[in-house]
Amino acid sequence: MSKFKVCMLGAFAVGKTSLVQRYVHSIFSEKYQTTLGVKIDQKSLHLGDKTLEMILWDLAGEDEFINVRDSYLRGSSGGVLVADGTRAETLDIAFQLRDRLFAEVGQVPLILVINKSDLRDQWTIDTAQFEQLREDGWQVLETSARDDSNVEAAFRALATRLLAMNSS
Amino acid sequence: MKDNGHEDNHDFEELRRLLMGSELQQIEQLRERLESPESFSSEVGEILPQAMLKSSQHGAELSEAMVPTVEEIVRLSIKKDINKFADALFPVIGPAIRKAIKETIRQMLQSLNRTLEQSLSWQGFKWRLESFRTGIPFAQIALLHGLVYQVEQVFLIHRETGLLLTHLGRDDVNNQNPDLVSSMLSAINDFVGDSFEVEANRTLDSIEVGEISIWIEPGPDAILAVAIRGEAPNSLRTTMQQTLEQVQTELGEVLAGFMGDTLPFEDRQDLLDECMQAQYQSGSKGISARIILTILLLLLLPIYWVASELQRSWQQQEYVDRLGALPGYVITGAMERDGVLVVHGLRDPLSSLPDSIGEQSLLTGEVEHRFEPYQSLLPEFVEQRARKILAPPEGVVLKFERGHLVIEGVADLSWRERLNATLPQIAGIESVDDSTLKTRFTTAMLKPPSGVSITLEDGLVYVEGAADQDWINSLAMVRQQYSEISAIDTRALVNLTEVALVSKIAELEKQVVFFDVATSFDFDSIDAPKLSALAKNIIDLANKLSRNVLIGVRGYSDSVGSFEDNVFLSVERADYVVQALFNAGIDPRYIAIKGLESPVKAETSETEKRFNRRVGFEVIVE
Repeated sequence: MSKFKVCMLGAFAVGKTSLVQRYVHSIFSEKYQTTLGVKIDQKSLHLGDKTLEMILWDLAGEDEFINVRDSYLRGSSGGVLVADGTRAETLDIAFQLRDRLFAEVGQVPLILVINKSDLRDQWTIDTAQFEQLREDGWQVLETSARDDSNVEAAFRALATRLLAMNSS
Repeated sequence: MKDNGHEDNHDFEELRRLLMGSELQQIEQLRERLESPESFSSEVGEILPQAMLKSSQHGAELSEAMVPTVEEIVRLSIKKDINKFADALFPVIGPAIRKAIKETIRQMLQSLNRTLEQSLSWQGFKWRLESFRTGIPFAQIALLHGLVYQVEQVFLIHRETGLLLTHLGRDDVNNQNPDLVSSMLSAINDFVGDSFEVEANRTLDSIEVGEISIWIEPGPDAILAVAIRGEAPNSLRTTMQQTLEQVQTELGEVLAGFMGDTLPFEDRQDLLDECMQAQYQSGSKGISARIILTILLLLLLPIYWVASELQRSWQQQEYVDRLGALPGYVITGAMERDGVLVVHGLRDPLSSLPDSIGEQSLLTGEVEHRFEPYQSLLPEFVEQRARKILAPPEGVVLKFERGHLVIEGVADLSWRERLNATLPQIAGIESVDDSTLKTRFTTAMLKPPSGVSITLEDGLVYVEGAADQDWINSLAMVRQQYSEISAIDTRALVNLTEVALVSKIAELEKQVVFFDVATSFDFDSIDAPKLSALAKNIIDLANKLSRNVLIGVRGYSDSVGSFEDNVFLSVERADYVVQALFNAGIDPRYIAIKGLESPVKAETSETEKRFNRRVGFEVIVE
């Protein structure tokens, strides 16, 4: 069995914790995010004949008051970049966090999740740029933690990439 | 010349080729090998180990020659990346440090051992047996028995990712998801490192919450964390280091290339077994401490009971001895009845109460005293008793020495009378000297009869009323007895004895005894008892008054017959009455007889004659 440390990265209130809570096994309270800046959950996935464990480091959202600790990024095998479709600026923050992750652990598999698709009519983010990102090799998924839309798919997509990286 | 020279060289070369042949080709090959760094280094590399081996067999010259170079290599390596050097030394440094620490601890334990050897106890004896059986130093055994702990979980964590490599946990402990716990531990470690500017490559040593401690031991690629309940010995830290070294040695390559595959580690849980330690105060071997404690209690209870009884007996005896030593106490017996010490004996009421003994004594139980009163003859008690009974008034001093009581001073007559009455009742007084004790005078001391009043004024005693001669005589004695009496004035005192004497004399002198004619005597006509009683009263009263008395008995006759006959007859008649008085016991000294001088009355008739034939009485007092 393979285990991977996966960081949930994104701006404040983009829905990282809500996405994680959908399927994960958790023993820790969310209060850890306010005290330690991280809450750790676990997600097991079966892909074909392989099983993998994703240890999800749900980091406190990056904002003007809270900075993601670089030490928490150390040792990550992959990450989920989360942006809020209703707040376009959160995509920029996601990319900033991506850069910090790469600086800490190198090029690791990532997926980009644009959350809150249930509020699509309120989105301010330019969806046209998603195509460009996909062409650049990014895997971009539109998710809704509230509707449970694409959440499982997002984690499975990342898991696939992690396994691919591990076997290469 | 130039052409000739060229031809000479050619010839010379031809000659050398003919002479050396194949050797020349070999020399050329050797030159090429020496001049080519690649081939030369390759060949040197092949023979260098053997050459170094040979050199070391012949001496230390090569090693000495290499020292500066090796030192420089080490220095450059550390300067370049200290972590690599540290990682390389990791398997070596651990055992070296442990060896040094072990030696230090051994010396410390030896010191502790010597100290403990001086202490003797059942537990110590038991531990010594265990030390003898196991070969472990006594102090270490004592140390181990003092600790109680249990390792509940062991985590082997990949240092870089915080991912759990493998885990061991006790079945009887509720183990939370170890993957999440290990990652959270890594997060906490990172959090502390970030928050407090901890030196690079340092990790938390331990986390302690209540009874739970988490000890963390870092290695180059992995972290070992153990969750402990209780107080674990430092030897566990050593075990963790050894385990980590073992992991690093056996799985170092896998750890270095770890990409998330935990399978190689999951099969090696055995590496963590050593860390799953537990130490209990009472082992499962042998008799449990509870049973031993119970047996000890069962043994101790009768011992305690016997000891308590002995102690109580000793305390009771000590109490009785103390009580018996008190003055005024005689102990005749002591016994315990229903938990109460009953003491029998005699007690002088003047002795102190036994309460003070109870305060001084160690006796804690209840005591009942059954004392009969008695009088102690100890001098202090005799004196105390005499003072209490006699209650000497102010002015009286009692001195008691060896059974002899001396009483001095001045006391009232009443106290003195009481003294005389009570002295015989005071036991222990063998003799009394009250010769210097004076009696204070009071009028009551005169004991005046009724009708007499006495007043005392400035030493002069005034006596009024009437009293007999006896009492008046006592006044004189009292006056002599008390110096404070200057005089006794009895001018207003009537002497009843004198009055009685006068009265009796008058009564006797009225008495007359008549006779018939001639010598006819009729004794029946004499009232002898009355006459003698009067005579006796008069004599007694006169004697009391210290007066001389003489009772004259005068005889008379009528004028019939001669004068001489009549004188004789009158004397005879008086003598006749005197004889009657004598017969009644009157002392003849007080009696005088007188005869006729002349008839008492002139005779003109028989009646006058009869009147004159008589005996009369006359009393003379001087």
